[in-house]
Amino acid sequence: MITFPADSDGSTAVSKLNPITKLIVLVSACTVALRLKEPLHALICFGLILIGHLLTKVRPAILWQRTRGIFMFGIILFASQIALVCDVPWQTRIANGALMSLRFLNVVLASHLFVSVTSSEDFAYALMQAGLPYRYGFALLATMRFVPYFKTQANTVLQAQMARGMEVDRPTPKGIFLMAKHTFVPVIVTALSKVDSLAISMEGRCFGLYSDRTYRRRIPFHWWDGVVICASIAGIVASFYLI
Amino acid sequence: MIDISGLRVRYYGSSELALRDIDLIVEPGESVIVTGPSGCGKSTLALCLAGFVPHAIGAEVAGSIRVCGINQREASVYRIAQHVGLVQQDPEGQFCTMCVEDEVAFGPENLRCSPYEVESRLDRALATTGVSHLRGRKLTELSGGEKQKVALAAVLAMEPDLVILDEPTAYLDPRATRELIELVSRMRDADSRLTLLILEHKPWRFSHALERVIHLDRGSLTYDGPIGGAAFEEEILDQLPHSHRSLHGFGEPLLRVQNLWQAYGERTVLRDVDLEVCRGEIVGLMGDNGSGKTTLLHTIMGFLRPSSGRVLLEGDDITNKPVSARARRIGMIFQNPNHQLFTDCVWREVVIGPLCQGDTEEECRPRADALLDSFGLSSYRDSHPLLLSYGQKRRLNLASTMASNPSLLLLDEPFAGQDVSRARDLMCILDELASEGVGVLIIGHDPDIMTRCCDRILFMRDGKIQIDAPPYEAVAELERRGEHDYLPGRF
Repeated sequence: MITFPADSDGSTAVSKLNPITKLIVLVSACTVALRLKEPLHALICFGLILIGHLLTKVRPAILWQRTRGIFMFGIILFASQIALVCDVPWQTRIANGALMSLRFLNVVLASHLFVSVTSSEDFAYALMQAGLPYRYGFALLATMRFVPYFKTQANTVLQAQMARGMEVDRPTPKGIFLMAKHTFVPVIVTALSKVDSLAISMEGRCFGLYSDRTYRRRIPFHWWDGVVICASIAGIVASFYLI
Repeated sequence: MIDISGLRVRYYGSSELALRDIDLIVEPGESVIVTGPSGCGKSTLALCLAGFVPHAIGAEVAGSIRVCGINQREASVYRIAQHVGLVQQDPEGQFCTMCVEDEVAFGPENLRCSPYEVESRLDRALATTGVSHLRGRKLTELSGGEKQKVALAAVLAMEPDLVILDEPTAYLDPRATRELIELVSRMRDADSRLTLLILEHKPWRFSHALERVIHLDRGSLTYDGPIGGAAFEEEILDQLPHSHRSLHGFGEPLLRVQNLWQAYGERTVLRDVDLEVCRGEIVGLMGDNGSGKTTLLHTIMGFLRPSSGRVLLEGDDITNKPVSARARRIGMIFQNPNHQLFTDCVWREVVIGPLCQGDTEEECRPRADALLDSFGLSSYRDSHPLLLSYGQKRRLNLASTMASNPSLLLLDEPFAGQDVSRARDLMCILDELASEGVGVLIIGHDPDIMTRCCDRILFMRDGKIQIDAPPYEAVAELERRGEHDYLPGRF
């Protein structure tokens, strides 16, 4: 889920990095993960990402609870590669399955790590500080702010459906289609009323009056951010020459 | 401060005038309440004063409207915004950021104030509204009253000459309402130059804080004078259905909740709750936001499984039954009528519940037709539910819920943000349903309505039912316990 809750309390070394640095590390990690051709290298990459997760001090039980779906899908990828690919020796099937599965896990878990240690507000403010026009930055911020709100609204609509006897709690394929159809309209109607309200609120406080604005909140960029960015870029370059 | 002359407003696509021939003068530093029934033009007047009509919301505007000497029809919204601040009804929808300080600083930052100026405006606005202790807090963690104060602080940080509050107490419980009224009173005393315009259904709530009231009806100004001379909605209060059913006694208990406990993680929300609702009885459930009222309703409906305890309906233990199995016997009405409108036609909306519960369309037809007739919706049977007025939507919610012929009806704050006449209309329908033997459990914040219309009052605090008594006894007990915010006639 993309609520950017910044799971850790912000005290870990990973959390303290500038969000832009984290984004560059994420892009680098994904690039390298996709370029790796040996299962052993992909496994080492996987280990490094797991260490990254452990550095955030998130309890392993919670981490497992959140990522078990990802792991299950990784296992399905692995198993389907072995079961469905024909005319190839077993060893190759296992190696290809492991590589494909690990690539998937590495990309998704790296993104999960980024979301876990980055608050959406800090990310938006860091982007604006880095030069993103503030209208886009606040569009991102407003989107993130309304995600939990609309989740609550959708939940209320589902409850209203259940109260009318729709079997949302025991869905069938047809039921899922109807549930989606019956949820969409009420949530959209609510969303539109909120958009009006937000637009009035923002314009009523002079949002958009000038081409730039003051920022009270500053997202620090430390020397170690520079080091991490250089290391990430070096990693990408190395992956093109060494792999 | 405000000089309006011959103001007429008609929204594009509408044949009705939203405001007609309004003449109004408000002096600097004056505090005024604008009242009137829903749809009378209060919000349109506020949007005109803040410049959103006609600049952002399309409408034909005639007449003159000047605020702080600025011609609102010619000046840009941004120029007006530096003089006029508008706090909307629902604070949730108007927050642009995620934490208190960012939200309050948002306006001054947009004005390109220096960081020092932004910080000092932030300090002043938080101090004025008494929410300095909320610094660093996430907006999602705040209570409704705190959110409304932060929304007000965010507007005050713009240092406007005129502040408009559009039904600021609409979604607040009585305690938060009292705190907001006290805050308005303090603001008025602290800054004699600040002009306040408060849009409010219940002007008497502010009778201690403000002195002048303006009444609008169907877009026209019908009263402008001291608040003592206004008795508009108090008259409607007298039209609320008074319950006399208790004189005849009720039938056997329909709903029994026994030793109910409910917890979210480590937080206990319901503590050993016991209650009964009889056939034909209307039971009112009151208490502060967060006291466990909605959790109780959700547990009875089956959205939540209780940690322990039992829920019995007509003698059957339904504690572990899924919601779909309860839906035929328990109906639920939510706060926002749009949340329970799923289909594209009124008739289908009424029959969708029974159809989902296994009835055929032929079986549903007679009852659906009868319900549409009795709820005054027959002429709209092919209309889209979302095109109905608020009152029609509410009646449709009730008709579609009653289509399953439930014996118990649960209502979660159906009066929130509504004027007394809408509450009266709903209570009249509930009164009729109760007379037919339906048990009703209703959450409400308005002591005037609840104590007049309910047969019994339950008062919750910290997840426990503290009072369970007929209205007159409940009022005496509330007074004895010092719960003055919940006494009728207060707010």
